[in-house]
Amino acid sequence: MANPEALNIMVLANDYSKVHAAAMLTAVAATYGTPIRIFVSMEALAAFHKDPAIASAISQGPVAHKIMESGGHNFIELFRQAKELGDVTLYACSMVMDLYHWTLDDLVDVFDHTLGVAGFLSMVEGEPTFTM
Amino acid sequence: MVDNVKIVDARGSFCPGPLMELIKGIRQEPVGTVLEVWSSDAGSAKDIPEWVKRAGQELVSSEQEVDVFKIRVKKIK
Repeated sequence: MANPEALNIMVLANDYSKVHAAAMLTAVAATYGTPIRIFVSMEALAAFHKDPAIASAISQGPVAHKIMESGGHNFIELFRQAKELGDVTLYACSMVMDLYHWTLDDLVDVFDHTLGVAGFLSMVEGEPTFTM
Repeated sequence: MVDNVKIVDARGSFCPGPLMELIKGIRQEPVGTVLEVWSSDAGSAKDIPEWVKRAGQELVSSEQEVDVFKIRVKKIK
């Protein structure tokens, strides 16, 4: 049943700042008791790879560089905090996983499941969903 | 006058760092505790009261001392 209070975010862009913004929103919204689902796909998924050479290939603009220079929490840490604070589920896109022959063990440990786009759409039907 | 205030020193941290430190403190402390966040980040000084209102906690005070913002929050639930 659709939950109008839920927050669903599709993180797709090859853009560190968008991934970080999704993590910030998730970390704060989780504290309100909002159920949150994050679906990470396309170029964004590589940013979660355990291999730094793969993860660092994501595009980093001037704000992303400032964030990293600040020494604050990175987006992985923010997603981890969000999961500790509330009802947060992260899904890795099965299509990208298949294309690169990745498993969840290849990604940092914030993901709960792999999922296809049809599965995600069924889950979030009728609920607020944003794309970054 | 509040006798027992828990200081959350988040100076040097940027948004949402001070807020996340406050949230961590609120989760650890019992109802009735007053926490005072120290933040050098002006954005957090505006953002923390918004979170307090939405989360149903109590904003006790918010003031600036030179370049440090001090925001007092009482855990009421």
